[in-house]
Amino acid sequence: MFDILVISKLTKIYGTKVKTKALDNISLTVKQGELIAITGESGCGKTTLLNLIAGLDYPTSGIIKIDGIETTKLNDQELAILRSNKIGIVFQFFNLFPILTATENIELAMMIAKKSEDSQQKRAMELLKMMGLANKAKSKPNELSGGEQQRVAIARALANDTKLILMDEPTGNLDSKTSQDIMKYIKNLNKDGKTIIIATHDQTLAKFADRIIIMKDGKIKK
Amino acid sequence: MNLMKFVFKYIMRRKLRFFLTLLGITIGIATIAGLFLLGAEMETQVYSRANALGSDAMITPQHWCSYEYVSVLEGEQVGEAIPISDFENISKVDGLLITAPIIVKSTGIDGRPVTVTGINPSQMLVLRNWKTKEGQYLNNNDTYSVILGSSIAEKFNLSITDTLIIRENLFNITGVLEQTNTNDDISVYIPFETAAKIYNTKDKISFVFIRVDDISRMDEYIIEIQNVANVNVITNSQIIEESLDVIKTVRNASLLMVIIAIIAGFFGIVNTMATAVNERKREIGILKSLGARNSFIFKQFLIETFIIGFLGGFIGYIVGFIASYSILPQIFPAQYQSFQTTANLSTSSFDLNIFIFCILFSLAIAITAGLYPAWRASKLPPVEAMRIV
Ligand SMILES: Nc1ncnc2c1ncn2[C@@H]1O[C@H](COP(=O)(O)OP(=O)(O)OP(=O)(O)O)[C@@H](O)[C@H]1O
Ligand SMILES: [Mg+2]
Repeated sequence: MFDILVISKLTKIYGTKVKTKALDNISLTVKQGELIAITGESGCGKTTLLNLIAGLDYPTSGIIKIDGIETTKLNDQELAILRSNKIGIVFQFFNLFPILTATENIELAMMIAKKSEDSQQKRAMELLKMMGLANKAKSKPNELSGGEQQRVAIARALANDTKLILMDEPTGNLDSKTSQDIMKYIKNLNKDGKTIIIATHDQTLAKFADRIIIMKDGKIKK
Repeated sequence: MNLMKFVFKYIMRRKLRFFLTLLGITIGIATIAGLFLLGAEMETQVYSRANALGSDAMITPQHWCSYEYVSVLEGEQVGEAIPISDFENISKVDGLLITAPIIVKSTGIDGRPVTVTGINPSQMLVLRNWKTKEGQYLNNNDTYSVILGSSIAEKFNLSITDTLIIRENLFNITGVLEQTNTNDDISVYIPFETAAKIYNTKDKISFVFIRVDDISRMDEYIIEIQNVANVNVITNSQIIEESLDVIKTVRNASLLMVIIAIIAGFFGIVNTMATAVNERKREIGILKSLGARNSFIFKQFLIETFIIGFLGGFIGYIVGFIASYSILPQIFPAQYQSFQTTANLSTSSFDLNIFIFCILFSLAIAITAGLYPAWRASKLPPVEAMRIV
């Protein structure tokens, strides 16, 4: 299979005075269609790694290639375009817009990718149905349960039909029953061909993955 | 969803703050609009009143300045300083068709102040082309007779069967003039000799309207007049110029205060937008992580200030318009009083130039104020922005 993500010798050092080596010379290759779990104790660098893959931050050194494009060479603008076309992100803390309804939160991602309003509406409705949230389309995040919010966040990450989906603790704030449901959604997405990288503490979630990567102190242990 | 809807949702979330910010800029723009509209209307008034004088020039005491000319145009009381003997010498100057002496005083009718103008009846009739609506015009032999401007007759419900007491003297009302829509409507007229007597002006008059046989020889006449009397001669176009100067001076002084209002509005917008950027740091980070470019964030904030600027200009103009509409009648009582009876008020009319100016100016202020906060928002590094919980 095609290598959708290639990371080589990636290092990220935070801070100037007090230096934190969050990532230490990491290399990793992910094939298209893989479901990968990154685990490791708190502070080991999972979020940092996802942020760098998403182009939200620059590495101190090393190279990232997504879909053949060397993203570590791109500027802000190019990275923004890359994100809206190639990467869907689900955050640790949902990160929905409180002023927008579930539908509008999903539409927003497509609006940024310059999709027409018609197609935005159609696609948002489709995704809400798929996530079992058709009846919550007009609800604001504060009217939704944690699990529902997370499903909206996943729907938003899927909105632009990007090849690569990054998820940071997608079940971090959810009870085990809801986590199970979310995992099923994730597994289904993966079956539909999405490449998914999940950062998680949750061992049961990690077991769903094709491959588990364990990190410690900014390095890959396994 | 589109960007406008998105911005609108943010505005709706902070309605009060939006409203207060808008209020700040609106007040500034409203004052500007009001001042300009008033100024424009006052200029029109100056022209129409100077034309309504019917004379070619005015002879005034030497010491008069712009404010006294404005008083003449407004039909307000002025002092008297030209000796009747001087006036008689001036009357003998060749080429003067009309020399109409004027004394402007005031009296009370039903406790309200009313202008009393002492005139030479026949000269004034030629000058103003008055028509009598009721009764008779003043006769040159009349002494304690008075003719009323139309608004005065209507307002105080007076007619030729009534009498009027001016300075403890009983006057017969001989007639009522037809409406002229000038200040002439809000004065009463008595022979100037009578006025000089009852007001004890010590044989002095306020000023003289003149009309000449050949306007191109005005300069010669002025020299001749000044040879026989120590007076000033001012042509109608000079009166207009002087009065416009007064208007401009007043307007410029007021503009200074307006600038302060505008500066306050400007910083109101800067403050609101900077607060908004701070509040929404996290959301800016999310937008960026969803693929929003810097320009998207920049646009989002700038559209918000654009809306403030546009509404500020638009509402400001309307408020200024209404303000000038309600202030004008106080400044131009003649129009106001004829309005009360005939609905013929000359109000400030919609002025496209001032309207466009208000909108563009308000937009310029708002956009300038929004530039920096919007730019700062657009440059926020996404990871850092999202770290704020
Ligand atoms: N902006 C930053 N400035 C300085 N240090 C940082 C910054 N972000 C992360 N770090 C440090 O880098 C290390 C890795 O952090 P990271 O957030 O990637 O961990 P994580 O594996 O996601 O942890 P968790 O499981 O708790 O979410 C930590 O030691 C953290 O303190
Ligand atoms: Mg983390």
